[in-house]
Amino acid sequence: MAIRFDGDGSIFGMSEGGLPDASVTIDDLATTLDLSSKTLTLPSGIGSKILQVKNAVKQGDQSFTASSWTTITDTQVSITPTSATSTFLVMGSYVLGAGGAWRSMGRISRNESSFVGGYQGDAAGSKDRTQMGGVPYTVYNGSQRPCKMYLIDSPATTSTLTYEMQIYCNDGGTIYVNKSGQEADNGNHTRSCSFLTVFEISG
Amino acid sequence: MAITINGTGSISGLSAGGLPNSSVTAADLATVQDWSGKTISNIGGGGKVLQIQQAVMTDTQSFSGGFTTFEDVTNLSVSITPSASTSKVLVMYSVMITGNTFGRRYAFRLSRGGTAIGIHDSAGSKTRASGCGMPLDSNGVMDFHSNTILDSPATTSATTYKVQVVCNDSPTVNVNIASNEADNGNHSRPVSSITVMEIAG
Repeated sequence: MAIRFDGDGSIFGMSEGGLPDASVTIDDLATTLDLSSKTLTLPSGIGSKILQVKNAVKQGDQSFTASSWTTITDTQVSITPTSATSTFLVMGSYVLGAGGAWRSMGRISRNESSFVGGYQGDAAGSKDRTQMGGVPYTVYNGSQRPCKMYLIDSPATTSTLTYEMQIYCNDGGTIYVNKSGQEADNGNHTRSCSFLTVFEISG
Repeated sequence: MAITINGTGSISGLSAGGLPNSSVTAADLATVQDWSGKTISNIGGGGKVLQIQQAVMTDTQSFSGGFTTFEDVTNLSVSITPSASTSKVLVMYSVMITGNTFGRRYAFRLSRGGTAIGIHDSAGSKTRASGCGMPLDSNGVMDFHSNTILDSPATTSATTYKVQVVCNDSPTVNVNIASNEADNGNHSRPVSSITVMEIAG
């Protein structure tokens, strides 16, 4: 085909590859830039893996007497996955006190019904299978004990999820979050915070 | 060289840079695209977390007898192969550990490939550790310990991080088992975990 120069400043009839060396063609970009689907593929190691992060902090206190999983209020984090292939790093921390010789059981749950990541202690007789357990037990005059856990979850959905921390106590006693079970109103005693942080990480 | 317009639809004799202003040439993209290797580089604003790995220990392990050297918690171990030797590795672990004897001490630390990291300075003959504990009760109590350490392994080889324990004066140290537990629903079996994230250097 003959090359034609138009008066409007354009050229017609030039074949693919007809430009000089060092000119950029689609083939040159093909491994990284897909023009048909308008996507850019970055090299391994480049590009954000953390797609979003959300956090909840409980600054108040709460008491528990239930023997079934009960949510620690204000620790709920709702998050809508960007992709069904995403994984979630869930970091939870709470502080407990007891009004007597009681033991708590704790977990990080998803939608108030499951153990995050499906992780719980292996079965062992009649003992309860938990993620966190066995604290605080005694009061020790104003003491509190921390529990912290890092877990990865793969929910395989793009529907909104709610992560939260839950505890219960089978001993029949009262467990306190963010305060001791035997406190006085002076500076020797402390009110604490609990938190839950959720990172969405690309798959 | 003269520019020749060929009947085949091509132009010969046009030098690199001979196109109109604003035309893109390979030289324009040279700082971000390697034409020979077909790779893109020098991208600012990208993510810093390159990968994440985790191990969750759902079983138990007991260490008996006042040993004085650190031993591995077998299933609290995770391996990661850094993408670059300049990467950092953020290590986060949470371990449920306790001795079974009131008032007896134990200690724990993090190991990278057999080398302790994130431990206290040398101080006489005292054990250098990341943390320590002592059962204050002996009836189904557990102690939670966690640490976060930013490591610079300076390698692209597979690197293994492990939690280790020692009990100089405690007859028994348990992971994921409460002290003097009973077999009923007032006692529990929990989990411990170790998580590593590679952070771009």
